[in-house]
Amino acid sequence: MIATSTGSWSASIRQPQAASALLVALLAAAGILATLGLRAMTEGATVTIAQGGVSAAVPDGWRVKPGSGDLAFIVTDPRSADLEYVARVINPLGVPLATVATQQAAVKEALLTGYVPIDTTEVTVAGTSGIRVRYAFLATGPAGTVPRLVRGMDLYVPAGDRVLGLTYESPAAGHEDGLDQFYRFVGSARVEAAS
Amino acid sequence: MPDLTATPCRVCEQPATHRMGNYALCEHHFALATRERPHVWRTQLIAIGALLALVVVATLVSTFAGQDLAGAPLFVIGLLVALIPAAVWLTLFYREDRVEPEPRRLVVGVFALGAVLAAAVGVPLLGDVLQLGRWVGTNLPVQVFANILAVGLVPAVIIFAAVRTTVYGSSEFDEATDGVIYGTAAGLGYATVLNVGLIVDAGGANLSFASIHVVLTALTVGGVGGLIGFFMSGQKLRSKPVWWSAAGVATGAILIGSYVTIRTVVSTGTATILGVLAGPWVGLILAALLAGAITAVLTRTVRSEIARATTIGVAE
Repeated sequence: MIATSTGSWSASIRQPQAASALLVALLAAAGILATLGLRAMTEGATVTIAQGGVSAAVPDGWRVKPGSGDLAFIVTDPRSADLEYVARVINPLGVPLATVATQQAAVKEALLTGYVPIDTTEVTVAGTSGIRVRYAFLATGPAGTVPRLVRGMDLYVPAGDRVLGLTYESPAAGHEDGLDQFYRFVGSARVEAAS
Repeated sequence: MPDLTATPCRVCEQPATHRMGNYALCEHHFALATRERPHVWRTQLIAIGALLALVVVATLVSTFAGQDLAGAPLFVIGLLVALIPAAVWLTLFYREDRVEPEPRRLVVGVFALGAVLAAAVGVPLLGDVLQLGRWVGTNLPVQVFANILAVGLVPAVIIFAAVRTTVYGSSEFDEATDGVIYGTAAGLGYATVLNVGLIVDAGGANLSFASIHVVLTALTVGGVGGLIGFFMSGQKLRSKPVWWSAAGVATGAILIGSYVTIRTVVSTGTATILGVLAGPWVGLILAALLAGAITAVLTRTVRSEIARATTIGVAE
Protein backbone atom coordinates (compact mmCIF):
# COMPACT_ATOMS: atom_id res chain seq x y z
CA MET A 1 0.00 0.00 0.00
CA ILE A 2 1.22 3.45 -0.88
CA ALA A 3 0.98 5.95 1.94
CA THR A 4 0.16 8.98 -0.17
CA SER A 5 -2.80 7.86 -2.14
CA THR A 6 -5.05 10.83 -1.32
CA GLY A 7 -4.96 14.36 0.02
CA SER A 8 -2.56 17.27 -0.10
CA TRP A 9 1.18 17.17 0.55
CA SER A 10 0.80 18.29 4.12
CA ALA A 11 -2.15 16.01 4.72
CA SER A 12 -0.33 13.06 3.23
CA ILE A 13 2.45 13.20 5.78
CA ARG A 14 0.26 14.16 8.72
CA GLN A 15 -0.38 10.87 10.42
CA PRO A 16 2.99 9.07 10.40
CA GLN A 17 4.85 12.35 10.88
CA ALA A 18 2.61 13.40 13.75
CA ALA A 19 3.21 10.04 15.39
CA SER A 20 6.98 10.43 14.98
CA ALA A 21 6.83 13.94 16.50
CA LEU A 22 4.75 12.58 19.36
CA LEU A 23 7.37 9.91 20.01
CA VAL A 24 10.09 12.59 20.22
CA ALA A 25 7.91 14.59 22.64
CA LEU A 26 7.44 11.47 24.78
CA LEU A 27 11.18 10.85 24.67
CA ALA A 28 11.82 14.42 25.85
CA ALA A 29 9.29 14.09 28.67
CA ALA A 30 10.75 10.74 29.74
CA GLY A 31 14.25 12.24 29.75
CA ILE A 32 13.23 15.18 31.93
CA LEU A 33 11.29 12.96 34.36
CA ALA A 34 14.22 10.55 34.58
CA THR A 35 16.57 13.48 35.26
CA LEU A 36 14.31 14.75 38.05
CA GLY A 37 14.24 11.22 39.51
CA LEU A 38 18.01 11.01 39.29
CA ARG A 39 18.24 14.36 41.05
CA ALA A 40 15.92 13.19 43.84
CA MET A 41 18.09 10.11 44.35
CA THR A 42 21.39 11.97 44.11
CA GLU A 43 20.88 15.32 45.79
CA GLY A 44 20.60 14.05 49.35
CA ALA A 45 22.99 11.14 48.94
CA THR A 46 25.70 11.00 51.61
CA VAL A 47 28.59 8.81 52.63
CA THR A 48 29.69 8.40 56.23
CA ILE A 49 33.32 9.14 56.97
CA ALA A 50 35.36 8.89 60.14
CA GLN A 51 38.43 11.13 60.33
CA GLY A 52 40.34 12.73 63.18
CA GLY A 53 37.96 11.44 65.84
CA VAL A 54 34.76 12.67 64.15
CA SER A 55 32.29 10.59 62.14
CA ALA A 56 29.71 12.30 59.94
CA ALA A 57 27.60 11.81 56.83
CA VAL A 58 29.00 14.08 54.12
CA PRO A 59 27.62 14.74 50.61
CA ASP A 60 28.51 11.95 48.22
CA GLY A 61 31.24 12.95 45.80
CA TRP A 62 32.77 15.68 47.96
CA ARG A 63 36.51 15.58 48.50
CA VAL A 64 37.70 14.64 51.98
CA LYS A 65 40.91 16.18 53.30
CA PRO A 66 42.09 14.70 56.61
CA GLY A 67 43.29 17.24 59.15
CA SER A 68 45.75 17.27 62.01
CA GLY A 69 45.74 18.65 65.54
CA ASP A 70 42.24 19.81 66.44
CA LEU A 71 41.21 19.82 62.77
CA ALA A 72 39.42 16.51 62.10
CA PHE A 73 38.69 16.97 58.38
CA ILE A 74 37.57 19.30 55.63
CA VAL A 75 35.14 18.18 52.93
CA THR A 76 34.93 20.27 49.78
CA ASP A 77 32.47 20.33 46.89
CA PRO A 78 34.64 19.53 43.85
CA ARG A 79 32.58 21.98 41.76
CA SER A 80 33.19 24.94 44.06
CA ALA A 81 36.38 25.57 45.99
CA ASP A 82 34.47 27.97 48.25
CA LEU A 83 31.91 25.40 49.43
CA GLU A 84 33.15 23.28 52.30
CA TYR A 85 32.37 21.76 55.69
CA VAL A 86 34.99 21.62 58.42
CA ALA A 87 34.98 19.52 61.59
CA ARG A 88 37.15 20.26 64.62
CA VAL A 89 37.48 18.66 68.02
CA ILE A 90 38.64 21.40 70.36
CA ASN A 91 40.05 21.01 73.83
CA PRO A 92 38.42 23.94 75.67
CA LEU A 93 41.10 23.98 78.39
CA GLY A 94 38.44 24.73 80.96
CA VAL A 95 37.03 27.90 79.38
CA PRO A 96 33.28 28.30 78.69
CA LEU A 97 31.81 27.46 75.30
CA ALA A 98 31.22 31.13 74.46
CA THR A 99 34.91 31.84 75.06
CA VAL A 100 35.89 28.98 72.76
CA ALA A 101 33.71 30.55 70.04
CA THR A 102 35.29 33.97 70.60
CA GLN A 103 38.82 32.53 70.45
CA GLN A 104 38.05 30.66 67.21
CA ALA A 105 36.56 33.80 65.67
CA ALA A 106 39.70 35.72 66.56
CA VAL A 107 41.84 33.09 64.79
CA LYS A 108 39.68 33.34 61.67
CA GLU A 109 39.83 37.14 61.73
CA ALA A 110 43.60 36.90 61.68
CA LEU A 111 43.68 34.36 58.86
CA LEU A 112 40.89 35.39 56.49
CA THR A 113 40.98 38.40 54.16
CA GLY A 114 38.24 40.93 54.85
CA TYR A 115 36.77 38.91 57.74
CA VAL A 116 33.54 40.44 59.01
CA PRO A 117 31.62 38.97 61.98
CA ILE A 118 27.84 38.99 61.39
CA ASP A 119 26.42 37.69 64.67
CA THR A 120 26.98 35.29 67.56
CA THR A 121 23.95 33.58 69.10
CA GLU A 122 23.05 30.68 71.32
CA VAL A 123 21.35 27.85 69.44
CA THR A 124 20.18 24.30 70.07
CA VAL A 125 21.89 21.66 67.98
CA ALA A 126 20.34 18.17 68.07
CA GLY A 127 18.95 18.88 71.53
CA THR A 128 22.21 20.32 72.85
CA SER A 129 22.83 24.00 73.57
CA GLY A 130 25.58 25.48 71.44
CA ILE A 131 26.96 28.70 69.98
CA ARG A 132 26.54 29.84 66.40
CA VAL A 133 28.93 32.38 64.83
CA ARG A 134 28.12 33.77 61.41
CA TYR A 135 30.66 35.70 59.36
CA ALA A 136 31.81 36.64 55.86
CA PHE A 137 35.17 37.10 54.17
CA LEU A 138 36.78 37.52 50.75
CA ALA A 139 38.29 34.51 49.00
CA THR A 140 41.13 35.59 46.74
CA GLY A 141 42.35 33.82 43.63
CA PRO A 142 45.29 34.38 41.28
CA ALA A 143 46.46 37.94 40.68
CA GLY A 144 44.08 39.83 38.44
CA THR A 145 40.95 37.94 39.46
CA VAL A 146 38.11 39.49 41.42
CA PRO A 147 37.84 38.29 45.07
CA ARG A 148 34.75 36.22 45.86
CA LEU A 149 32.45 36.95 48.78
CA VAL A 150 32.11 33.90 51.02
CA ARG A 151 29.68 33.46 53.93
CA GLY A 152 30.44 31.18 56.82
CA MET A 153 28.84 29.69 59.89
CA ASP A 154 30.53 28.03 62.88
CA LEU A 155 28.60 25.83 65.31
CA TYR A 156 30.18 24.89 68.64
CA VAL A 157 28.58 22.21 70.81
CA PRO A 158 29.88 20.40 73.87
CA ALA A 159 30.98 16.80 73.26
CA GLY A 160 31.93 15.32 76.60
CA ASP A 161 34.95 17.20 77.90
CA ARG A 162 35.68 18.59 74.45
CA VAL A 163 33.94 20.89 71.95
CA LEU A 164 32.82 19.85 68.50
CA GLY A 165 33.22 22.72 66.04
CA LEU A 166 31.43 22.43 62.69
CA THR A 167 31.83 25.01 59.93
CA TYR A 168 29.88 25.72 56.75
CA GLU A 169 31.37 28.09 54.18
CA SER A 170 29.88 28.79 50.76
CA PRO A 171 29.69 31.46 48.08
CA ALA A 172 27.49 34.20 49.55
CA ALA A 173 24.97 33.98 46.71
CA GLY A 174 23.96 30.40 47.45
CA HIS A 175 24.55 30.29 51.20
CA GLU A 176 20.94 29.93 52.28
CA ASP A 177 20.30 27.18 49.71
CA GLY A 178 22.90 24.95 51.33
CA LEU A 179 21.73 25.29 54.93
CA ASP A 180 19.45 22.23 54.96
CA GLN A 181 22.23 20.01 53.68
CA PHE A 182 24.63 21.43 56.28
CA TYR A 183 22.14 20.82 59.09
CA ARG A 184 21.87 17.18 57.98
CA PHE A 185 25.66 17.00 58.23
CA VAL A 186 25.49 18.58 61.68
CA GLY A 187 22.83 16.10 62.78
CA SER A 188 25.02 13.18 61.75
CA ALA A 189 28.29 14.39 63.29
CA ARG A 190 29.58 12.46 66.33
CA VAL A 191 32.79 12.75 68.29
CA GLU A 192 34.21 9.26 68.59
CA ALA A 193 35.44 8.05 71.92
CA ALA A 194 39.22 8.40 72.23
CA SER A 195 40.89 5.00 71.80
CA MET B 1 3.08 -4.40 -10.71
CA PRO B 2 0.92 -1.54 -9.32
CA ASP B 3 -0.06 1.35 -11.55
CA LEU B 4 1.94 4.18 -10.02
CA THR B 5 0.47 6.82 -12.30
CA ALA B 6 -2.80 6.45 -10.40
CA THR B 7 -0.97 7.62 -7.27
CA PRO B 8 0.11 11.23 -6.72
CA CYS B 9 3.69 12.14 -5.90
CA ARG B 10 4.24 12.46 -2.16
CA VAL B 11 5.67 15.96 -2.66
CA CYS B 12 3.90 17.65 -5.59
CA GLU B 13 0.88 15.42 -6.29
CA GLN B 14 1.88 14.96 -9.91
CA PRO B 15 1.50 11.36 -11.12
CA ALA B 16 4.09 9.17 -9.44
CA THR B 17 6.64 7.22 -11.43
CA HIS B 18 8.80 5.77 -8.66
CA ARG B 19 8.30 4.18 -5.35
CA MET B 20 10.60 4.40 -2.29
CA GLY B 21 9.36 1.96 0.27
CA ASN B 22 5.72 2.94 0.79
CA TYR B 23 6.19 6.41 -0.71
CA ALA B 24 5.36 7.34 -4.29
CA LEU B 25 7.39 10.06 -6.05
CA CYS B 26 7.29 11.73 -9.45
CA GLU B 27 10.37 11.73 -11.69
CA HIS B 28 11.56 15.12 -10.45
CA HIS B 29 11.19 14.45 -6.75
CA PHE B 30 12.59 10.95 -7.03
CA ALA B 31 15.69 12.50 -8.59
CA LEU B 32 15.88 15.05 -5.77
CA ALA B 33 15.31 12.48 -3.04
CA THR B 34 18.13 10.36 -4.42
CA ARG B 35 20.47 13.26 -5.19
CA GLU B 36 23.52 13.78 -3.12
CA ARG B 37 25.09 17.18 -2.70
CA PRO B 38 28.77 16.25 -2.36
CA HIS B 39 29.59 19.82 -1.33
CA VAL B 40 27.67 19.31 1.91
CA TRP B 41 30.33 16.94 3.16
CA ARG B 42 33.11 19.14 1.79
CA THR B 43 31.58 22.14 3.60
CA GLN B 44 31.38 20.23 6.88
CA LEU B 45 35.02 19.13 6.68
CA ILE B 46 36.30 22.57 5.64
CA ALA B 47 34.31 24.12 8.50
CA ILE B 48 35.94 21.72 10.99
CA GLY B 49 39.37 22.69 9.66
CA ALA B 50 38.54 26.40 9.70
CA LEU B 51 37.35 26.25 13.30
CA LEU B 52 40.48 24.45 14.43
CA ALA B 53 42.48 27.17 12.65
CA LEU B 54 40.47 29.76 14.60
CA VAL B 55 41.63 28.22 17.87
CA VAL B 56 45.26 28.32 16.76
CA VAL B 57 44.97 31.98 15.71
CA ALA B 58 43.18 32.92 18.95
CA THR B 59 45.84 31.16 20.99
CA LEU B 60 48.62 32.99 19.15
CA VAL B 61 46.84 36.35 19.60
CA SER B 62 46.30 35.60 23.29
CA THR B 63 49.94 34.60 23.72
CA PHE B 64 51.39 37.66 22.02
CA ALA B 65 48.87 40.19 23.36
CA GLY B 66 49.20 38.86 26.93
CA GLN B 67 47.84 41.19 29.60
CA ASP B 68 47.35 43.99 27.03
CA LEU B 69 44.17 42.28 25.87
CA ALA B 70 41.71 42.80 28.71
CA GLY B 71 38.49 44.55 29.70
CA ALA B 72 36.07 45.78 27.05
CA PRO B 73 38.23 44.90 24.00
CA LEU B 74 38.60 41.30 25.27
CA PHE B 75 34.84 41.13 25.87
CA VAL B 76 34.02 42.35 22.35
CA ILE B 77 36.57 40.02 20.75
CA GLY B 78 35.19 37.13 22.82
CA LEU B 79 31.67 37.85 21.54
CA LEU B 80 32.95 37.91 17.95
CA VAL B 81 34.71 34.59 18.52
CA ALA B 82 31.42 33.14 19.82
CA LEU B 83 29.70 34.12 16.56
CA ILE B 84 32.44 32.91 14.22
CA PRO B 85 31.50 29.18 13.97
CA ALA B 86 28.02 29.96 12.66
CA ALA B 87 29.38 32.64 10.34
CA VAL B 88 32.04 30.28 8.97
CA TRP B 89 29.57 27.49 8.32
CA LEU B 90 26.93 29.71 6.72
CA THR B 91 29.52 31.44 4.52
CA LEU B 92 31.09 28.18 3.38
CA PHE B 93 27.71 26.64 2.80
CA TYR B 94 26.50 29.44 0.55
CA ARG B 95 29.74 29.54 -1.40
CA GLU B 96 29.37 25.84 -2.15
CA ASP B 97 25.59 25.80 -2.61
CA ARG B 98 25.34 28.43 -5.31
CA VAL B 99 24.06 26.14 -8.08
CA GLU B 100 20.82 25.10 -6.42
CA PRO B 101 20.82 26.75 -3.02
CA GLU B 102 18.48 26.07 -0.16
CA PRO B 103 16.42 29.23 0.43
CA ARG B 104 18.59 31.48 2.56
CA ARG B 105 15.68 32.64 4.66
CA LEU B 106 14.91 29.03 5.60
CA VAL B 107 18.47 28.16 6.61
CA VAL B 108 18.89 31.41 8.55
CA GLY B 109 15.40 31.00 9.99
CA VAL B 110 16.13 27.51 11.30
CA PHE B 111 19.44 28.78 12.73
CA ALA B 112 17.59 31.65 14.44
CA LEU B 113 14.86 29.37 15.79
CA GLY B 114 17.52 27.02 17.19
CA ALA B 115 19.05 30.02 18.95
CA VAL B 116 15.73 31.36 20.24
CA LEU B 117 14.66 27.94 21.57
CA ALA B 118 18.05 27.52 23.21
CA ALA B 119 17.76 30.89 24.98
CA ALA B 120 14.08 30.57 25.87
CA VAL B 121 13.85 26.87 26.70
CA GLY B 122 17.15 24.95 26.66
CA VAL B 123 19.37 27.10 28.86
CA PRO B 124 16.65 27.92 31.48
CA LEU B 125 15.53 24.28 31.59
CA LEU B 126 19.03 22.96 32.25
CA GLY B 127 20.16 25.78 34.53
CA ASP B 128 17.09 26.94 36.45
CA VAL B 129 14.69 23.99 36.42
CA LEU B 130 16.93 20.93 36.48
CA GLN B 131 19.77 22.85 38.23
CA LEU B 132 22.36 20.32 37.13
CA GLY B 133 25.21 22.34 38.59
CA ARG B 134 23.82 21.83 42.09
CA TRP B 135 23.63 18.07 42.20
CA VAL B 136 25.65 16.41 39.44
CA GLY B 137 28.88 15.79 41.30
CA THR B 138 31.84 13.57 40.52
CA ASN B 139 29.97 10.26 40.65
CA LEU B 140 30.60 8.93 37.14
CA PRO B 141 27.35 6.98 36.60
CA VAL B 142 25.34 10.03 37.73
CA GLN B 143 27.34 12.22 35.34
CA VAL B 144 26.76 9.82 32.45
CA PHE B 145 22.98 9.60 32.97
CA ALA B 146 22.53 13.33 33.66
CA ASN B 147 24.63 14.29 30.65
CA ILE B 148 22.67 12.01 28.31
CA LEU B 149 19.17 12.55 29.76
CA ALA B 150 19.46 16.32 30.13
CA VAL B 151 22.61 17.93 28.70
CA GLY B 152 22.34 15.84 25.52
CA LEU B 153 18.61 15.32 25.15
CA VAL B 154 17.53 18.96 25.57
CA PRO B 155 19.54 20.34 22.62
CA ALA B 156 18.71 17.24 20.56
CA VAL B 157 14.98 17.78 21.04
CA ILE B 158 15.34 21.51 20.37
CA ILE B 159 17.19 20.83 17.12
CA PHE B 160 14.40 18.44 16.12
CA ALA B 161 11.74 21.00 17.05
CA ALA B 162 13.46 23.83 15.16
CA VAL B 163 13.52 21.78 11.94
CA ARG B 164 10.20 20.01 12.45
CA THR B 165 8.18 23.17 13.01
CA THR B 166 9.65 25.10 10.11
CA VAL B 167 11.20 23.66 6.99
CA TYR B 168 10.27 20.01 7.52
CA GLY B 169 6.73 20.41 6.23
CA SER B 170 7.90 22.52 3.31
CA SER B 171 8.45 21.18 -0.19
CA GLU B 172 11.99 22.61 0.08
CA PHE B 173 12.83 19.73 2.41
CA ASP B 174 13.02 17.27 -0.46
CA GLU B 175 16.58 16.01 -0.75
CA ALA B 176 18.57 13.36 1.03
CA THR B 177 21.00 15.91 2.45
CA ASP B 178 18.49 18.64 3.35
CA GLY B 179 18.10 17.28 6.86
CA VAL B 180 21.85 17.48 7.41
CA ILE B 181 21.89 21.12 6.28
CA TYR B 182 18.94 22.28 8.38
CA GLY B 183 19.88 20.14 11.38
CA THR B 184 23.37 21.63 11.37
CA ALA B 185 21.89 25.15 11.14
CA ALA B 186 19.63 24.49 14.15
CA GLY B 187 22.53 22.96 16.10
CA LEU B 188 24.75 25.94 15.39
CA GLY B 189 21.97 28.27 16.54
CA TYR B 190 21.85 26.41 19.85
CA ALA B 191 25.65 26.36 20.15
CA THR B 192 25.90 30.09 19.43
CA VAL B 193 23.61 30.91 22.37
CA LEU B 194 25.72 28.71 24.67
CA ASN B 195 28.89 30.37 23.45
CA VAL B 196 27.62 33.93 23.78
CA GLY B 197 26.39 33.03 27.27
CA LEU B 198 29.86 31.77 28.18
CA ILE B 199 31.51 35.03 27.15
CA VAL B 200 28.84 37.22 28.80
CA ASP B 201 28.89 35.24 32.07
CA ALA B 202 32.66 35.44 32.22
CA GLY B 203 32.67 39.14 31.32
CA GLY B 204 35.18 38.25 28.62
CA ALA B 205 37.48 35.28 28.90
CA ASN B 206 40.99 34.19 28.10
CA LEU B 207 40.92 34.22 24.30
CA SER B 208 42.60 30.86 23.87
CA PHE B 209 40.31 29.00 26.28
CA ALA B 210 37.25 30.89 25.01
CA SER B 211 37.97 29.91 21.41
CA ILE B 212 38.51 26.27 22.39
CA HIS B 213 35.20 26.19 24.24
CA VAL B 214 33.37 27.99 21.44
CA VAL B 215 34.72 25.68 18.76
CA LEU B 216 34.20 22.42 20.62
CA THR B 217 30.60 23.42 21.45
CA ALA B 218 29.89 24.33 17.82
CA LEU B 219 31.50 21.14 16.51
CA THR B 220 29.63 18.91 18.91
CA VAL B 221 26.15 20.45 18.79
CA GLY B 222 26.37 21.40 15.10
CA GLY B 223 27.63 17.93 14.15
CA VAL B 224 24.92 16.20 16.15
CA GLY B 225 22.38 18.57 14.58
CA GLY B 226 23.40 17.27 11.16
CA LEU B 227 22.95 13.70 12.40
CA ILE B 228 19.45 14.39 13.77
CA GLY B 229 18.54 16.12 10.52
CA PHE B 230 19.71 13.06 8.59
CA PHE B 231 17.31 10.88 10.57
CA MET B 232 14.53 13.40 9.87
CA SER B 233 15.27 13.24 6.14
CA GLY B 234 14.88 9.48 6.35
CA GLN B 235 11.58 9.86 8.17
CA LYS B 236 10.14 12.17 5.57
CA LEU B 237 11.64 10.93 2.33
CA ARG B 238 12.54 7.30 2.81
CA SER B 239 9.58 5.67 4.48
CA LYS B 240 11.46 4.87 7.68
CA PRO B 241 9.56 3.48 10.66
CA VAL B 242 7.64 5.87 12.90
CA TRP B 243 10.32 5.74 15.62
CA TRP B 244 13.09 6.78 13.24
CA SER B 245 13.25 10.47 14.22
CA ALA B 246 13.09 9.58 17.92
CA ALA B 247 16.00 7.21 17.33
CA GLY B 248 17.92 10.09 15.77
CA VAL B 249 17.18 12.37 18.73
CA ALA B 250 18.20 9.63 21.18
CA THR B 251 21.42 8.97 19.25
CA GLY B 252 22.21 12.69 19.29
CA ALA B 253 21.56 12.85 23.04
CA ILE B 254 23.83 9.87 23.69
CA LEU B 255 26.61 11.38 21.55
CA ILE B 256 26.46 14.81 23.22
CA GLY B 257 26.10 13.30 26.71
CA SER B 258 28.97 10.87 26.23
CA TYR B 259 31.16 13.59 24.81
CA VAL B 260 30.44 15.98 27.69
CA THR B 261 31.17 13.23 30.22
CA ILE B 262 34.47 12.28 28.60
CA ARG B 263 35.45 15.93 28.28
CA THR B 264 34.61 16.56 31.94
CA VAL B 265 36.72 13.62 33.07
CA VAL B 266 39.60 14.67 30.83
CA SER B 267 39.48 18.37 31.64
CA THR B 268 39.51 17.89 35.42
CA GLY B 269 43.04 16.51 35.13
CA THR B 270 46.01 18.80 35.66
CA ALA B 271 48.31 17.18 33.10
CA THR B 272 50.28 19.63 30.99
CA ILE B 273 52.00 19.44 27.62
CA LEU B 274 54.90 21.89 27.13
CA GLY B 275 53.62 23.79 30.14
CA VAL B 276 50.11 24.15 28.73
CA LEU B 277 47.11 22.59 30.48
CA ALA B 278 46.26 19.56 28.31
CA GLY B 279 42.59 19.05 29.23
CA PRO B 280 40.96 21.71 27.03
CA TRP B 281 43.03 20.72 24.00
CA VAL B 282 42.17 17.05 24.42
CA GLY B 283 38.50 18.09 24.65
CA LEU B 284 38.90 20.06 21.40
CA ILE B 285 40.52 17.13 19.60
CA LEU B 286 37.73 14.82 20.78
CA ALA B 287 35.10 17.28 19.48
CA ALA B 288 36.83 17.49 16.08
CA LEU B 289 37.01 13.69 15.92
CA LEU B 290 33.33 13.42 16.83
CA ALA B 291 32.28 15.95 14.17
CA GLY B 292 34.56 14.32 11.59
CA ALA B 293 33.24 10.85 12.43
CA ILE B 294 29.62 12.01 12.14
CA THR B 295 30.37 13.56 8.73
CA ALA B 296 32.11 10.38 7.55
CA VAL B 297 29.32 8.10 8.73
CA LEU B 298 26.62 10.32 7.22
CA THR B 299 28.48 10.53 3.90
CA ARG B 300 28.77 6.77 3.70
CA THR B 301 25.20 6.12 4.84
CA VAL B 302 23.59 8.68 2.53
CA ARG B 303 25.53 7.31 -0.44
CA SER B 304 24.58 3.72 0.28
CA GLU B 305 20.92 4.68 0.87
CA ILE B 306 20.82 6.62 -2.39
CA ALA B 307 22.36 3.69 -4.25
CA ARG B 308 19.88 1.28 -2.71
CA ALA B 309 16.89 3.57 -3.31
CA THR B 310 17.92 4.13 -6.91
CA THR B 311 18.24 0.40 -7.52
CA ILE B 312 14.86 -0.33 -5.94
CA GLY B 313 13.24 2.60 -7.71
CA VAL B 314 14.49 1.44 -11.11
CA ALA B 315 13.54 -2.14 -10.38
CA GLU B 316 9.99 -1.12 -9.62
